[in-house]
Amino acid sequence: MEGTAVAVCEILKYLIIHWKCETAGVSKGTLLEGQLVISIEALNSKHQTNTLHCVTTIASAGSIYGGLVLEKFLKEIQSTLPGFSAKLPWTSEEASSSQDISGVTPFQMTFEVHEKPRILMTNSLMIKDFLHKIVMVHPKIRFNFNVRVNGILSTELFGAKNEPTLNLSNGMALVVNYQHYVSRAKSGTTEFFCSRIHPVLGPPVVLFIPDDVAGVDLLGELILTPAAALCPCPKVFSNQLNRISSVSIFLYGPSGLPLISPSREQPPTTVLKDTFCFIDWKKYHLCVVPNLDLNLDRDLVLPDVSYRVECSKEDQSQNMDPQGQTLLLFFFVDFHSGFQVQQMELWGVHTLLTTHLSTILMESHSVVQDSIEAAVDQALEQHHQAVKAHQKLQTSLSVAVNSIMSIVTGSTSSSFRKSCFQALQAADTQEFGTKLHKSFHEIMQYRFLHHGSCEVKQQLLPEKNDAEQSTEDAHENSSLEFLAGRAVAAGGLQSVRVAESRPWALSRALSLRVHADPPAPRAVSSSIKLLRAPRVCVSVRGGAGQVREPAPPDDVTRTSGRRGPTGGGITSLVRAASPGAMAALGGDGLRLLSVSRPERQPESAALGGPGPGLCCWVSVFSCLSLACSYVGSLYVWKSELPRDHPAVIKRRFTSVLVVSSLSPLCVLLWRELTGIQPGTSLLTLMGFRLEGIFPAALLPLLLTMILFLGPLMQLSMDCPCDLTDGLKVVLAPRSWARCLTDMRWLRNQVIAPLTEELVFRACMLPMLAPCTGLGPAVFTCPLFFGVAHFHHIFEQLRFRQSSVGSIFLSAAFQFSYTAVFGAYTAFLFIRTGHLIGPVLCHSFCNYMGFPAVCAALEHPQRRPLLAGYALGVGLFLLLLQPLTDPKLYGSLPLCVLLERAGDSEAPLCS
Amino acid sequence: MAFAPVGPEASFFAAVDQHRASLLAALRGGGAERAGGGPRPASSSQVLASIENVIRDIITSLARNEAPAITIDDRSSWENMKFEDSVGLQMVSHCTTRKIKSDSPKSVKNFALILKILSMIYKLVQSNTYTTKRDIYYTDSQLFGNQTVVDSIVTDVSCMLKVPRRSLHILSTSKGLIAGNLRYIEEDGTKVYCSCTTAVAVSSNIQGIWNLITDAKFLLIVEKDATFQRLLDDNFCSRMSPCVIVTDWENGVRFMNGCGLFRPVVCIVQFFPQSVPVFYHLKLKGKGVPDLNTRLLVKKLWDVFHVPIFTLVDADPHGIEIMCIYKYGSMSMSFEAHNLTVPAIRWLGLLPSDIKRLNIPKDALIPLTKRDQMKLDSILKRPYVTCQPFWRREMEIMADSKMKAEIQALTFLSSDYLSRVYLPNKLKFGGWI
Repeated sequence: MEGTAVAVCEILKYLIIHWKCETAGVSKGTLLEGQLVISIEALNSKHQTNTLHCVTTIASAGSIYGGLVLEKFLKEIQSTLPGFSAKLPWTSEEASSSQDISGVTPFQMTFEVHEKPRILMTNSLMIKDFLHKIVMVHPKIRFNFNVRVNGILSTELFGAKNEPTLNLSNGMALVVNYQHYVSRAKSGTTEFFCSRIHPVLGPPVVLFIPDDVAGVDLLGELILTPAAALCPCPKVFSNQLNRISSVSIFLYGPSGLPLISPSREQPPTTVLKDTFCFIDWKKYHLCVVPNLDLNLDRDLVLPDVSYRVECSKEDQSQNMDPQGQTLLLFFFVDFHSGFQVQQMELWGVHTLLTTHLSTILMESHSVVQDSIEAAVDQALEQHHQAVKAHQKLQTSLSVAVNSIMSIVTGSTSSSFRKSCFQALQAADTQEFGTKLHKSFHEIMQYRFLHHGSCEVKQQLLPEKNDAEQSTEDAHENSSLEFLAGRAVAAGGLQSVRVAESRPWALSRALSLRVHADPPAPRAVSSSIKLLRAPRVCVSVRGGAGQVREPAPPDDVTRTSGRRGPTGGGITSLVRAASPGAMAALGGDGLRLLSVSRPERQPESAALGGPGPGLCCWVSVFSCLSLACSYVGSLYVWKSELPRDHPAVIKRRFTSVLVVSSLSPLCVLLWRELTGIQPGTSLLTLMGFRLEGIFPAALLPLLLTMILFLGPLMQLSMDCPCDLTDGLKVVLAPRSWARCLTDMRWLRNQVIAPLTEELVFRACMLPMLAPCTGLGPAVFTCPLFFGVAHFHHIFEQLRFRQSSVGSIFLSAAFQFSYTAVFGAYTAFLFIRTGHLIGPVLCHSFCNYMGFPAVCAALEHPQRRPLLAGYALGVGLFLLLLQPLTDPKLYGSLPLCVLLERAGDSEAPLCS
Repeated sequence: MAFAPVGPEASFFAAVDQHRASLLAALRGGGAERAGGGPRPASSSQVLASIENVIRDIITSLARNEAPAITIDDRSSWENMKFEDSVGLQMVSHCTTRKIKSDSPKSVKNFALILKILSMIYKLVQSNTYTTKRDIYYTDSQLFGNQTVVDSIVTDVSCMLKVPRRSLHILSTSKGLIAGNLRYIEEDGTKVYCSCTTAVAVSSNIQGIWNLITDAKFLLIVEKDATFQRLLDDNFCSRMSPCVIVTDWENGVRFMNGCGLFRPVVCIVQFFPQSVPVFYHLKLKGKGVPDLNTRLLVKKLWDVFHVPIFTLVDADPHGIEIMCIYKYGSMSMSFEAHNLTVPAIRWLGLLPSDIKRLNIPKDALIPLTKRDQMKLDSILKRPYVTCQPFWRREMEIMADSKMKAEIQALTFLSSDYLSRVYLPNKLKFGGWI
């Protein structure tokens, strides 16, 4: 250790200790982050031959050394380097004065020294080694080490920022890439199980400092934590246990600084003089000899102590086994956690440790040995387990492959064999076998990698990060609704669902943004990023149907130019949001939107065809005319007979049937007029469909019967015969025949429900719903129904059955009653999507009539009856939603219609 | 003396006959024979095809770069079991499954072994040869490590392919012995005469036996080899003729030979041919379970003759377990319950209530161990116990007394108490539950 190296190391040490104290006190677990530049400029000396004049500069980024008082630093560092202080002229410059070293200025110090070329070389190597060691436990510090000898520059960068690190439980972070510890050549070309080392910590040991050593006023307790690891990780499917061929020991003091002796007499490898006594090597059947032949000129971290393992004579043959493993031992000496240490004390401890480590360790010999051996034991055990698991795996693998092979080759079924070969794309049995083995092997190895402690923390791809970030941005900055689900499985499948009304908003948002701040509007760029993410699935529900297209990243710009009248108009709008087409967005957004319905009104911006107002008027008019024609059909027959007369009924049957059978034509006409495309056939829309017909027939009826629980009870109570007899009568064919011939029965139970439901529900609701929405349609539709029932007034007035007032009163009552009932059946129709349910309910209600509440109140068995009423209503309200759950009845055509018309979230559809 | 055999004979078997009649009535009342659910004997090509399907699935998942897995119905949870009084334990139709993954270090070996056994079955079926589980184990005992591993995998494979064991061409070694009035012809044409004096090993190909002939009034399943031998030595089999009871031995024999109707008619099926100590050992390890062939034979005899079947087991949880397996089947074989269970089986002895009734001396009893207690509790929790109130009561008696008794405990009363007094009385007075 010569001048420059020691000086540089000490200065760096000082800096890092200071840094550590500045940034985080001495709290553990915080990683230092920053960059330091060390450059040595050497020129042939003019005065002495064969001597180089070296100017060493150490510089760093400013924020690190904010609190460094230069004078104090100089004083302290000079006291630490007494040997140099006389020789070396110290110069320091103010931060901003020099800009020459890669722009990193605020701290900078320079010193000059004369060195022999050979010594300079060793010095450089030692500095390199020192830096390397620091980087192993401070992976976020980067060192830039430049040596320029007579103008020839060699630069080396140290840093392990992107390398895998393991946070040990003692607060240290350790770079675990095996390449730092074992040379690549040694590992050979064969595949390794994993590229990590897996350090195991031993129990921490309190070190006692003997009185004669403790010159400084010390301090807290020191703690030694040993860590052991085998390097490299066992080879996959190796049959034999790997031999340990060498032992390397690394020493780290507090703050994760290597322990290197400052005095130049001591070579660095002898800080720890005799490690023999700390490990009972015989226990491990190892015979170790110190390895003094340390080649500095390597890309590895140089161990502080190194041993070569001598083989006993019997396995001499394996002596030259290049695959031998290295046992890595790390000794971390640090303060008791939470102990507040001052900078100078830290410094002092370092000095103490570098000089007296052996003595200190000897003082607590047995505990130290126990701890070290515990770590080694655990590391070896872990290793053994891994090897065992691999052997098991290998056996299983070959058994599985052989078994499959034996079945496949032994099969007499050529189709089976062919399909097997095809699956693995193998031509013949041999190829099949190798491929089978290979794929099995790969899968298992992959899984086992994840199983063991070797797993790689998968860093999120920056691209994906962007996408996620941008999703959030989109939420923040614009009203766009990106439902970007983070599908983890497929590696970030993002799906963007834009409801039909949204593309507008999208285009508006995009164009607004573009106009607002042209350079790089965040929302736009973020949404674009989203689209450029590797696998984005853009799903747009537009007039042209649901377009679901994956947008590959390279496709974005290309398709941005496409504005033809293609079906995927909206998609191309979204895609057009690439940087190149950004300018075009503002102007073309609307035009592109309209492209989505190219064959219809291309000039219109609305997707639903004609404006909503016109559409609504057409619908309302159709409904009104339907209602009128229905009622009107009843009066085309000029007759003086009352409505219950069979002849009247018969005539009315005919006309009503004619009108109701014509009513679908009205819907057809309406469709043509408004241009709404329901997406399903008209019959389906009108509730004639088979899907879920049985629940649709039964459940609404059941619901209605529950509502009529009270009246039903009343009916059964008042029934003269008992239930069984009643049933017998009801089920007898004769009674049915009587019913069928009874015109009133036919009208009330069959024709009226069927035609009324057909006209007032099946035909009107599809027309009203797109105009008003489903909810309002439920309440507007029965208005027509109620109005239609007003016609009874004319009849009653005509026959003067009662006073005008009471007629109107009953008409109003009937209107409200029928309106409520109409709303109920309309609700049923929408929720079930079937006509059959409302028809049956209608029929049932017609049979029951309005509940005779008054009679119930005066009934002898009033209490249970009223309870029945209440229970019926309560149950009805309770069951109304679940029993009419659309899930029971298949897809609802009306909901499909509305969804297509833009109202994606109709409240009744779910 | 000439009338002697007739009167007592009829009365002696009255209870048994009545029991048989009620069983038959129950059979008729319960409708037709059980609908043949469960796996049916599959043809060789079907077995081959289903194995090929398994392999094809594995290869396709490999081709998709997924870790292949084998899915097997989970038979370890009671939630996948349904109990039907007429069938026994069955798997529910939509049961949960368990996956044997190839990418987990725990199951990878099992995965490989299943494949290995599948390939062996494939060869066996192709060449139409048969082997035993024992032979499979010995093909690579190092790899399998343990006979039970092979056994459980064979059961799993049978469940996975939904194919009965025999169609896999794997025979289980028969441990059962049979004695008594039974004749049948093996598949290869060998005529087998079971006699009352010597025991015949249960055939390993039950499906193949045909032309079964018996006049037996009932069938007794004996848990232990020692008891079985003892019954044979005591001529229980022959003496179960009423004449024996009433008259002397010689007459009885002569009469029996002369009158086919009232022959001493007992089949004794049992398992565990091992000597007693070995059996004890097995029992302590909880391994004594009825072997497949014996169960198949019992089932076959029931299906063919509909004779009452009784069990004579120790009055301990393990004996009850064995009986339950004969009667209702086990969880691990629940997928084949249709071919194995005989719910008509009744518990003849040794009932825990008998211990007190007969005043068996305390010295002959053994306290229940902790393991026994646990087993008893678990049996009491099983679904089928609810429809067997008498069994439950007996088990509760055992749980209360915390004592168990072996069949041999009866010898404390008298050396041939079992064959002379206990069993005849039980049979005569219908002492089964």
